Amino acid sequence: MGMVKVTIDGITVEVPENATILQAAMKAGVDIPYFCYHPYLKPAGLCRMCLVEVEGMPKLAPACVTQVRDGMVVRTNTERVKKVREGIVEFQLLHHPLDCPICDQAGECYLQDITFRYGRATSRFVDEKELYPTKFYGPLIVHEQSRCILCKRCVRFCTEVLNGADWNVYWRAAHSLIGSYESDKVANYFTCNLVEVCPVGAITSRLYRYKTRIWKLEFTRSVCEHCEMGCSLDLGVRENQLFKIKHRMADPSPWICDKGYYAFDYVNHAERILYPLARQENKMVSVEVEDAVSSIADKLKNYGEGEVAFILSPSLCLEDAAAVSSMAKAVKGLVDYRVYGEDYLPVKGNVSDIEDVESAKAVLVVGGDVAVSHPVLALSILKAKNAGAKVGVLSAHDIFLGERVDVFSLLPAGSEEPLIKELLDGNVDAIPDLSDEERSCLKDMLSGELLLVAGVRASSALRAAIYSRSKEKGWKYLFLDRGCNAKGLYSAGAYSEGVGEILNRVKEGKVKALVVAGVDLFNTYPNGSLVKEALESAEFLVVMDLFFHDTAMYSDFFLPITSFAEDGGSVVDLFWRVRRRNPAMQPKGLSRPVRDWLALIGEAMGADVDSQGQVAETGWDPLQAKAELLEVKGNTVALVEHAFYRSARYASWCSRFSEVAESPCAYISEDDAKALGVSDGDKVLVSGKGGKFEFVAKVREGQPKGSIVIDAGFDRFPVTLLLNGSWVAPVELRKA
Amino acid sequence: MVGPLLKGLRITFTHLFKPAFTVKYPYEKLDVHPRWRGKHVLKVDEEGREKCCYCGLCEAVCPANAIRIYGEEAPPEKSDVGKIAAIYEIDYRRCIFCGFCEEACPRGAIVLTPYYELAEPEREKLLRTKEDLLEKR
Repeated sequence: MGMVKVTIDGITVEVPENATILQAAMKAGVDIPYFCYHPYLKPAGLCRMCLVEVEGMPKLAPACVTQVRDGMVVRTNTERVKKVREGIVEFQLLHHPLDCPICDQAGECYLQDITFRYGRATSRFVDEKELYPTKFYGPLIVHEQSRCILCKRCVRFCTEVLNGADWNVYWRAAHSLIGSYESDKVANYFTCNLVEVCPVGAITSRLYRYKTRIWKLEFTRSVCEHCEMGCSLDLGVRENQLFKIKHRMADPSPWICDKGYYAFDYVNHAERILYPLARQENKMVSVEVEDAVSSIADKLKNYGEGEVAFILSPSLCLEDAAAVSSMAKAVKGLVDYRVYGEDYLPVKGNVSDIEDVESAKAVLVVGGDVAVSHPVLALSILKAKNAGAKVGVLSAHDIFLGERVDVFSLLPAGSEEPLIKELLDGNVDAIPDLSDEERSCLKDMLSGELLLVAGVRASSALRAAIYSRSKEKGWKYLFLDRGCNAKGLYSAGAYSEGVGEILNRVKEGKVKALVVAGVDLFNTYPNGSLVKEALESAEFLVVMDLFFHDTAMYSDFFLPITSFAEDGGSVVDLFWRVRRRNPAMQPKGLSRPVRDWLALIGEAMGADVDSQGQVAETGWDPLQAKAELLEVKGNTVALVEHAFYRSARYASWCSRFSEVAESPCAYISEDDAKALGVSDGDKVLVSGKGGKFEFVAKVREGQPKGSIVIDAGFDRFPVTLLLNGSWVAPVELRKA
Repeated sequence: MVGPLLKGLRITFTHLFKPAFTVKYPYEKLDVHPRWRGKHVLKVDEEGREKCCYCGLCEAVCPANAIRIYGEEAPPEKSDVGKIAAIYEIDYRRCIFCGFCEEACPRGAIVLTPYYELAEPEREKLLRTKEDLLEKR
């Protein structure tokens, strides 16, 4: 691309020929004020704040949409520009309520800053201001139309990045209003970006509403803990309380998901356990750290080879994982992190960066809802689609991505994997419910360059099939794992035969002592009854966590650990990059990282616990997989999936965030609904192996007959009891 | 050498027979200027709603870091703008009575009153909370 020379306020810079004046000015270090320009959205030229004088042009030009020419001379410091800026600010403030004292954006507001620097001291407007009432869109975002400057950044985000969402401008010109047409809730997983892109206080976070002022917060860069994308976050802390999360660095993506942005307030939750607890006469009582450590060390010392097991959350940091591995070695115990019952380990994909995803020619997503497990990756896939790629989603459950792509089919939950295997073998007709157009599109995709994304649900056998087929055809592949640091735990060697095997051995009495760190097995492991039996039969159980959850009910000792905000660990992201966190606050109470607890226990036992983790060079080879493709038969087969707003870590203790998912839903087909006589919103009963559960029916178009999808992750709602080691199980469906 | 001494003594003795400048403080009190900067009061309006909406300017301007505030949403009977201070603390161990908070307040919510008797037997009691500071009506 050719470079051109532009002179801005006497400073000459060389920029690419398709750059705009505003970008050139940024390079020259000349400040041009703007509202509507956003580096990752298309220029719109709406706010007129960036008007500049260009030599040879009779009128002032908007810098954000005017392309540079060679030899262009731009002036931003003339009297004319100054006068226009004053005028624009005065116009923007005509109907602005000037309620900065109560506005949460104050302190980081473009309008405030620009008025201060370029505006007039007084307004000449004497009429009454047109003000609108505050509107709450769900429990997460607040919309104040009065403060809106109609820069349309939020609307452009929804149309350009989300490919359409229920958020737009209605009415015209001076009467324009921003909002949702149909609902009083904004229903997508990326609403936080509306808050982030809004340059003024029109859209603000309800979590942070009125709590404190932005200048009182101290921001520390950290890494998100909800999935493997490893989005960089800035944690705003005041007086050792986490108040706000901002996404200031476009790494890996300029966008962020609701989990990362909103699901953090568990850190300050009043129910957090901050002191070690020990069981005394069937009651948990607070004990001294030294006592707890020495008692645990004494107990663990007595167990022989293979009698101690460690179960870790896949979201623990690399150092914690290394410490647990070395502790497990010292006591000759078992260790595993695959608490979702996965039978696979991380495979190193041949995609090295998110840009490779965004520049793919065709993307096929199978075996999982990417928008729930890795939300930001879903946006990258949409970006690829907008750049011309063909995108297909074939999955038993999908809410966000499917309706926005070229090829979409909801597969029956029980035979999802065999169908995908057949497709990989070239039999496109095996996939049900596709139009001819979609079928030919899918054929094109399979015959050309393709990026295959295997979701978190895909079993090891399916992964092996994807892997071998991709190698054969020269496709790119990307295997997703659950948890934010599965790659790190794999690197630290924190795996053995699987969590199911450990639980079975505990149940049989072969493993006597169990240490569970950072996870509630009742919420994650897809066999609630096995978890219950195992925890009941465990001779000695130590739980390390933040909250006293269901698993902790069975514990002999409870050790409080630090959350991601208090701990400076490192995690390995989807592309095997090590991301380091910085501790944003002091550990609360006596909580400390898992590695510190283990170091103390190790010291008391005389074992050496090493927390130096190395990132593995190579991933797991899926061709070693011995298991069969997952196939479940039955009249009604249910797939259990965590609802998005319940899938964040510690979602039960994220008050506003988890409120979005009000009640557990069951997605059922139109045929089943007709047969049962239920319609949208009715109650249905799902019964299976371990009990009966009531769901709100959601009749979904395209849902195959005899296949349902039910939500997990709700409080006091242990749907994992229905399952038997995998997330798919035969159930019975009735009208409630 | 004796001269200056006598001069000083003369001043001393003349003052012995003049009326006293001081008052017997706890029993007698001097009138202070109406704009004296003493204890703070958080004002409420005619309808009993708190004026303070936690804009944080007093907290930001305070040179002694004596003010600590957290906000919250409030129902209309407590605030006309829907936002009040959940915690409002002034630490009189730190306050230097400069009056900047009053000057910074955009809503006239914090006012320094001529009340100056702030001494306490215990240091901790000098940390005044919103309950102490709110104007009683």
